[in-house]
Amino acid sequence: MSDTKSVKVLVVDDSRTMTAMITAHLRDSGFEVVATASSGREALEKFQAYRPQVVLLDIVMPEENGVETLERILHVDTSACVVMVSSMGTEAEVQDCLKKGAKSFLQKPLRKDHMLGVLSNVCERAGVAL
Amino acid sequence: MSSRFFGQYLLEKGRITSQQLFTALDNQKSVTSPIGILALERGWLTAEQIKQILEAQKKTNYRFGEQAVLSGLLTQPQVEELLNDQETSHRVLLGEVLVAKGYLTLSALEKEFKEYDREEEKLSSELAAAFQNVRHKDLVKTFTDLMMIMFTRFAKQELKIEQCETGKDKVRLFRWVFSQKVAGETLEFNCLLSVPPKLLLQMASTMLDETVSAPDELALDASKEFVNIANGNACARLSENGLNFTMTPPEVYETTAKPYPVNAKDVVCVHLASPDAKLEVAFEF
Repeated sequence: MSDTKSVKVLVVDDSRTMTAMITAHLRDSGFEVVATASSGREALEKFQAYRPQVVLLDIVMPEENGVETLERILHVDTSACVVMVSSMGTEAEVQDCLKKGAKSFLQKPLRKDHMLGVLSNVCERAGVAL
Repeated sequence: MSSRFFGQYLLEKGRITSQQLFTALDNQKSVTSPIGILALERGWLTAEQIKQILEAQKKTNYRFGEQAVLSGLLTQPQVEELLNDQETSHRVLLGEVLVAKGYLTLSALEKEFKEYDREEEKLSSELAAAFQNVRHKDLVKTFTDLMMIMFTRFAKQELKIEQCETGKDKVRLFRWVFSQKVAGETLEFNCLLSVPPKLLLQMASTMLDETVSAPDELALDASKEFVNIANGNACARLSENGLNFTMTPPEVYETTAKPYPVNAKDVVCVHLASPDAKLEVAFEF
């Protein structure tokens, strides 16, 4: 992978365990995790405040689910690069997210190499400086 | 009807004492590649043949596998297969320790393996029939399977199904209960996982990749994610058959502080066991 220091990532998951694990993997690999959020509302606030180049967004969250948050983020910035993360990964769910504008989909449990590979591809396709 | 682990089976049959089982379970982690017992379990060698090989080994100093081939009791490919077996079962390790400690003779172990297999075969057909009779059996089986996979593959904890029962009165709640709401087009239910403290800490340790010794906030968060992944993966598998579900995040209850309210009329309970702990997956329809 190229130098990823400039890639700013927002990690959204209601599980502290997952945000900590994803953050550690990304930082180890040179990504810059600019913020984490544990709800859809917080994710939107952090997205507006930090303008990350990539958002890793969990789907199963309390109050507002990740698909609703995806729509709200894309309403703020139609070119936002959002990768959905879910334990479910049903065909309907994946299709729905991609149709709504997500750039890719990761199924839990996350494997570090796979996650980094997907992020790398997404960044390249979106023209995010690597 | 109740399926059991080999150690529990030996204990119930009075073949070993609880202290012997405890000692053996404690020692089985130190056992590596017990290929004689593995060959005994597979029926490739009898107890008598193993004794022959061990006797011959004393004179030749060959390794067990080499001696078995030299004596014409195993083929080289069989020995290689035994050496490469990464999935050495709990009962092989336990059997090795029981024989090494002198709690069981090799001949007795051979007999118990065969008897255990006969009983387990009978029980597994009874279990299949029990699953056949529960409501939403495919769904119950899928969620149970995926939870077992999370425990066996990620938490490295061997599990087996003991019983599958229907009825609110069959629920056996342990200290920690995780409840996750799952909803489809025509069906909504709660999927419960109930575990004792030991397994909760194991779930948390698996997710956090470090040893967790107290059920603090982070441990509970990690355990909830463990449940969420298992149930989410079950939804993914069911979606392959056109059944689509959504979930809300799981909630956790400490039943000693606040009992979990089982309200549904239709409850299916799947009682599971690890070699040294019980747990339960239940469905409130």
